[in-house]
Amino acid sequence: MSRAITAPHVGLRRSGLLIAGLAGAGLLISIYLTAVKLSGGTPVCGPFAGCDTVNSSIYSQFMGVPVAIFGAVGSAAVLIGALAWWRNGWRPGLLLAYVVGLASLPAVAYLTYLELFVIGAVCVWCVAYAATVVLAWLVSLRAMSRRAGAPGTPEAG
Amino acid sequence: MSKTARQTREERRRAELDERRARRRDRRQAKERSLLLPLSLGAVVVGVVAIVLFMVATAPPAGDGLERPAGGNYALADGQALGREDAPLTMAVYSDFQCPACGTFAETVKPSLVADYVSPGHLRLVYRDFAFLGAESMDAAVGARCAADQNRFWQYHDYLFANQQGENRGAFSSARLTAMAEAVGLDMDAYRTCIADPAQRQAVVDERAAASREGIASTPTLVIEGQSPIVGVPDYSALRQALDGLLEEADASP
Repeated sequence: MSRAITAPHVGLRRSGLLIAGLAGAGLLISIYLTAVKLSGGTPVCGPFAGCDTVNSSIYSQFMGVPVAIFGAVGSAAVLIGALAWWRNGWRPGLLLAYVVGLASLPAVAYLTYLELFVIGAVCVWCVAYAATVVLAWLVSLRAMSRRAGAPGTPEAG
Repeated sequence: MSKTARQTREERRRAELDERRARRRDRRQAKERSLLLPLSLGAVVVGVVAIVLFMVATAPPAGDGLERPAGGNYALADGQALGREDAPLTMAVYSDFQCPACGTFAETVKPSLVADYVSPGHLRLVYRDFAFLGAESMDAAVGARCAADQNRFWQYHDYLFANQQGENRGAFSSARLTAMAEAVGLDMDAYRTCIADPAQRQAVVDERAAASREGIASTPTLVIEGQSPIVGVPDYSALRQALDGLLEEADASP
């Protein structure tokens, strides 16, 4: 019973900062991709190819709205939740980061599948964004299972 | 009351407080654990529903039922070009038939350009293939070239953009491209022979390679002869201003 109470608070706070950092990076990437899409330009892709193909694809928008905007909203929610938990120990903040991250996983997986198997091109920005979502969710999952003191939570296995 | 008795009472009070706090924490944690499973399931359901909606929104139409385009005045069609050969201005349009922004350009800006500049003889539009979105971009480009051979390029072009949906998922399948060729009234034997000719594919590849060498990197890109490229779908009033300025310059020059 005292296991959860004596959970290492400093370590948990660090997890909140890590989630916030990842979500912040995801937010910046998605804002960049949204701006590029709305301006009709091409993302800077460096030595990688494929950003222009993915960005021009029909899958880069949903009902006329750039898909990256949905990513920005998701990352912003995770960022806010993680910061609230990190700074004030507000537990629903961690729960928000975890739930939004989990809801984003199918979208991230499907969009990555489209890049690889339908569009036939990979956008390095999109891969980086997907990595921030997956990593932030994994950190939030670990923090949730530690904080709740419930090794048997369904996601933790 | 003795000092020891006071201390004992104080300790008891502290212990009770600690216990109450611990009970509160336990209740909170139990509540969190009980919320975790439904919230997790809810999140997964929301994520999956979003994907299904996305798939529906980007799915190609069922069967061969084609959308009929609005049509246009293509009396001045000349293969992949549209407009008088001696028009003072020429605009190359680098495009991919699967690119949604190219569809927006074709359906919103192009009709005004044709009415205001092409038909009066001020502008010649030249369609340039920049087929880079996959196999169906290539197939559509080849089909359009074969329509151009029969001088029905622009009608076929409009059919392609009106029936754009999904990407490499059958919107421009062989059956649908054939249906479009029939819809625009092509000689189907000539069309079939044409699309089987590897030279048509090579021409599409070559045109994209030439465009890349000229610095074209995305679609649509408009290039008015001698001017900087216009990337993306332009605002028509801004485009009008640019064209009017260039026409004035062309009129002023001997």
